Amino acid sequence: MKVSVDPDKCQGHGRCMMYDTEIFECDDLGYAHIRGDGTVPEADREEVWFASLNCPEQAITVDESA
Amino acid sequence: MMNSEVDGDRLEGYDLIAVLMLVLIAGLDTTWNALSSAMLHLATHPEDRRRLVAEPALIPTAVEELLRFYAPVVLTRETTKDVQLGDTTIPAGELVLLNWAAANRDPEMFPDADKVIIDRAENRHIAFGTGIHRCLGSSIARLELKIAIEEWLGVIPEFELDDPESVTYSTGHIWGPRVVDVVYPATVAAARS
Ligand code: HEM
Ligand code: SF4
Repeated sequence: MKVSVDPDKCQGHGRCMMYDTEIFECDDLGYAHIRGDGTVPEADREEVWFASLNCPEQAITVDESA
Repeated sequence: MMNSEVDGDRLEGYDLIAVLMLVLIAGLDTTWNALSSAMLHLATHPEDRRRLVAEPALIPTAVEELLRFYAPVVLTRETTKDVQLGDTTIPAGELVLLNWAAANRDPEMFPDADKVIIDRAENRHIAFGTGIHRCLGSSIARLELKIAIEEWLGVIPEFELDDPESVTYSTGHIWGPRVVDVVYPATVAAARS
């Protein structure tokens, strides 16, 4: 499973970081970035799904097949 | 804010005062209206209140749900050009009411949209708006609501609305109950003194 954040959509609401700071981190202006290459460890799957389902800008894409 | 710089630009003079005023005003009525709606809800929904007392870890999720349901802010935009929305054309120069509160009740997005479900896990509400002008204070607002509810329930877990007739609402583009008088059992009062 892989996850990505679309920088054109992200407005820095920070809800993803409320779910998982192992995967999501924020830059100096508060926008979200993925740590590493976006591969989601087994233990973070559920949190990452919730982050994507709660992002108000629909900026987070989860790819189950990757 | 007075010393910060973005891409070499600083806020100065009238711009600085305008931004300070905006941050001040935008952070007052919004948070107290959100909090008084939350308190009114907890005063009138003992099952939700008791669940949060028993499971305080649910409070952040409950805060999102209370924000979705009681969305305290509705603002306007002015169109800069003609905008086509479905079958309607909104001409340039019109004021448009952005009813985020209504979007938060969209049944296609939120199952049982007209119900407060305090452990709603999938909650992409837009009580803080969306896009470039989304609320600048959303993180501190969330924190304030979480801390206020946690602390209150920690001290006063049992309370109810004194007189439903006494609840009055503030209206306009920031909405919520102005007065929420509650009563709590004498045992709670005794434990406090
Ligand atoms: C529960 C409390 C709050 C709610 C529901 C709320 C909601 C909103 C909404 C809906 C907007 C408009 C977004 C848009 O135009 O697209 C907004 C803008 C704004 N809010 Fe909040 N707000 C809250 C608390 C705060 C706090 C505590 C602060 C400051 C500390 C704040 C500062 C601002 C500012 C500065 C803007 C204007 C942003 C811009 O136009 O770029 N808000 N808020
Ligand atoms: S929740 Fe969405 S908009 Fe907010 S910081 Fe995360 S990716 Fe960006």
